[in-house]
Amino acid sequence: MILEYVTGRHSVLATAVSASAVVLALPVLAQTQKQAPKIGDPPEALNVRLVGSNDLQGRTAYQPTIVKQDTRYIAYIGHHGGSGDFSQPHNPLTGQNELNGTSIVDVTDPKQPKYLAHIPGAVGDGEAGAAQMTRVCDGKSLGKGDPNKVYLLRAFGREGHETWDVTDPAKPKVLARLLGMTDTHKNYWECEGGIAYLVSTPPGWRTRMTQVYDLSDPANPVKIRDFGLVGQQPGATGAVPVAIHGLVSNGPKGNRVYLAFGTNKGGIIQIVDRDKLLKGPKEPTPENLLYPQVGRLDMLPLAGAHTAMPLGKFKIPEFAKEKEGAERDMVMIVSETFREECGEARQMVHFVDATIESRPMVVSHWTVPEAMGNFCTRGGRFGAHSSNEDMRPLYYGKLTFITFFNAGMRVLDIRDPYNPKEVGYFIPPITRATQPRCGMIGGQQRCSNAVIQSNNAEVDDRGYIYIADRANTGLHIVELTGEARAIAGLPPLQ
Amino acid sequence: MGRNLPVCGAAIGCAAFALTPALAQAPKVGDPPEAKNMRLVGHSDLQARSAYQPTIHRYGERYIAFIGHHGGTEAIRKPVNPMTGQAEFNGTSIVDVTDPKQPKYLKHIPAQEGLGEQGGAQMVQICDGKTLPKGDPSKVYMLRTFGGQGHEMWDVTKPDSPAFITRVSWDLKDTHKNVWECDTGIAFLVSGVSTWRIRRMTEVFDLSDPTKPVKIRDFGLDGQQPGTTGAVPSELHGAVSTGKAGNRLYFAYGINKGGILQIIDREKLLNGPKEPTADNLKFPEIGRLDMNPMHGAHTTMPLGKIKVAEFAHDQDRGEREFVMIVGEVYANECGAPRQMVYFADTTIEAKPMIVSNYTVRESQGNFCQRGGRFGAHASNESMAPVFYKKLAFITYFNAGVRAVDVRDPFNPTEVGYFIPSITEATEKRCVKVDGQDRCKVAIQSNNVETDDRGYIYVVDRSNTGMHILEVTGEARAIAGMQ
Repeated sequence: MILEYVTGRHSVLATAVSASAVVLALPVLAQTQKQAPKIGDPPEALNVRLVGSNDLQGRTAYQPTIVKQDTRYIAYIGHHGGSGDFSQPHNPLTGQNELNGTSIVDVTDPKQPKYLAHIPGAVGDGEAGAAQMTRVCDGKSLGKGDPNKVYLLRAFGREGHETWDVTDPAKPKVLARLLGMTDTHKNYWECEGGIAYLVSTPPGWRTRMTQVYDLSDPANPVKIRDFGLVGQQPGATGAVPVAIHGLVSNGPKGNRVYLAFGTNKGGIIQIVDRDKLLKGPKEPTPENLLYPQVGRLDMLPLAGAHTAMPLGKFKIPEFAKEKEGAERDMVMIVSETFREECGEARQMVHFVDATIESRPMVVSHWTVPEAMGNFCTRGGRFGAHSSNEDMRPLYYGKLTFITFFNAGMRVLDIRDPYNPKEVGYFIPPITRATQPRCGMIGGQQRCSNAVIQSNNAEVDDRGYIYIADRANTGLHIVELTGEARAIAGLPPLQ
Repeated sequence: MGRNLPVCGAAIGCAAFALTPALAQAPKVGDPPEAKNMRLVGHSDLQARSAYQPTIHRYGERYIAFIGHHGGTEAIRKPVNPMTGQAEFNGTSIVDVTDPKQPKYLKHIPAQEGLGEQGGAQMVQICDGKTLPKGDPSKVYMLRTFGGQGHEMWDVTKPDSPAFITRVSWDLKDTHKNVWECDTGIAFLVSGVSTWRIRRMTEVFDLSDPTKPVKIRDFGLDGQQPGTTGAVPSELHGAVSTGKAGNRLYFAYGINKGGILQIIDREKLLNGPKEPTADNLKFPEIGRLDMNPMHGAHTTMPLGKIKVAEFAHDQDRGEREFVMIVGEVYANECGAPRQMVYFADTTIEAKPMIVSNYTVRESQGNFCQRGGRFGAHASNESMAPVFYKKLAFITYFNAGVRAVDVRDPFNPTEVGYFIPSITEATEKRCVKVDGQDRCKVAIQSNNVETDDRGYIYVVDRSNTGMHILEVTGEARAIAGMQ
């Protein structure tokens, strides 16, 4: 049994250390179950297997960010706020009950992740509290940072953003705080040069937008500008365009930022010239806000845009012999499901041909087949949430990892983005820590079954995949096997 | 009939060819057809005329096919009609297909001089007088293009002796793929009015009395009308109407690139303000999808509302509305970006979005090397229940006609194909290599239509005639046919 919570509000008895040895011996279900899983069931998996896990003190988890610090690999996991009995889980390292914040876990040995520190965050339930987002950069790549230091940028509840010195990940120290805003969410921080895109609503703006900062010296943030869709800026009138969820930059070299608006519906992606965004006229007038826009795609409003992930240029195998158009520039859009038990239009993954950036067009889609696991009736949310955002060569352009809430983490072969294919998945087993989702479900105020709610996933440069659970089940570190492993060019496992 | 070929009709049986895989090499005269889940029933050589649109019309117990032709070729500008013994410019072929195994060529109506799309009479539409509000109930009418120049109305009550009635609209440029609603008589004529800035736009006509055409209005994208300046938006290719009941028109602009799907409120188009101002042209527009400009929109075929099986357990039950967009490839031997088929979710009409795509796999037959065009061209447009929302038939030039399972438009799947055999009549297609013509001979399946019995009529651009097909195996089961 892994990571089992044994009763009580806060005590974690089984540790990851003892868990991991057992885990590898557990049978793995060759196919997805048709019934809702029970405690004690093995994971459901194809071409993915569990390496290790950590319960993250039973905290609802959002963003895992994995970095190499000297010879160690450290995972920084942003948490949502806890609710009800779990609003202040116990931190055995301090002996205190603490508001959810950031978990720092040494994953150098992924079989035996070691929990190093918890930095409490802001008060508040779910997305209203804690410190959901994490980004980490080395001082030596930032430009003006201390080259010997490692820095964490995190959200602080809804209120703002903080930078921390995490050079010693067991003893993080706060450096700077940018507060006084609302609705903070999925930041982006370019480690090369230190430009940060902070997602939140500052006073005056009509919805969540982007504040562009120079964080090349993380102790001394310098504001560059505010940015959003025309109609979101202070003083605008009429309908407010849909809020941003987050963005991905391909940095000074790629010179593009891909912004995703409308998390679960009314999706829009905007392709922005990074140079024009940073150096263009800054006053938030309609003209200035449009100036850096290279292209924009308004989706079918039933679909949202949670992540707009640039996949770069592809030689599409099917078009190999075409004299024009054999190479295409692709963007992947992941939408987020908000409602439990299929209470809204299926949120999934769409692939966009952005070869001609001014006219991006969706060309294909991918979803977990619902019937494979009766996911609409299992409980909790079923549908896409997010993708890994790592652009290093191991997986980039080959495999992507999509969290799908109760359908776990899915591995997609995206070598032909016109025909994405699933080649693996991993649905962690539930534990006693796994919390049911409650609220208005199917028109009634009630709770759904306690099921896995794989929230976000990220990879490291060794090929491990880290999956964080929204329903308090912790962090699962997995690796690829079989066909999925071969696609990445990783050596076969012994 | 002269040139009709021995075919693999039902008497001979087609079992030997039914599962022939696509060839890796360019086919030769005498090779069997390449086929999967489709088989040949009958064939007419259409007097070796380059063929565009087949339209099949039921006359009581008879089925008559009207085939619009492109103009002639450099080599044969005026093919001989063996029935008259005369050389005739390409026009319209009229073929009795009541017995699809033995199609009977009834008549050729010559049309305008000119090669390719400059000549002939490529488009043809047929309506019964008894369906048209003001038609003679004893008559059958044919609307056809006349070269690039205009549109004509014919009496085809007796299909072997058609009689000219009137010119509907004349002194135009580049006539193309018209639509004529038989229950209302409203026609959407595709061509260029000389004062407009574009080769092809729409003239809306009331042809409820085919002998007395009444023009309703001109229509196009804002920027195409007289007096505008700046870049001219993509030209129209054609439209599909869901008629008075559906109240929608799906316009396809930008045939091989710069594709645009425009969804139009038909009532507003017919009864809205007619002066071609920017405001009036936008007034009937409900939604619009601007495609990746590498892709064109040749046909925008509404598939209507479909319950998507994947969404069956969603609380809203997952009914979606779809439009299939087919681009047309112009360049020979893969000289341009692949034109293919996209499926747009138009559930929220104001913001249609593509969700899936379909293309023939090039490697299945080395189609880029076979010669001629490889890529999509057109789909059948029949909404007869036998195939509608189940199978769509897509012409793919040298890859023949393709049967695509569209029951789940999020995941269209090819379930059959038929590439007719080339014959001595098949015309070569050339590309420039080092400044010299390098030519190959290949099938160029151009357009396709179906009848309510479930026969599929595919016509060849490179003069190989018309092939009448039926679906077999899995494809037949999907259509629910015996």
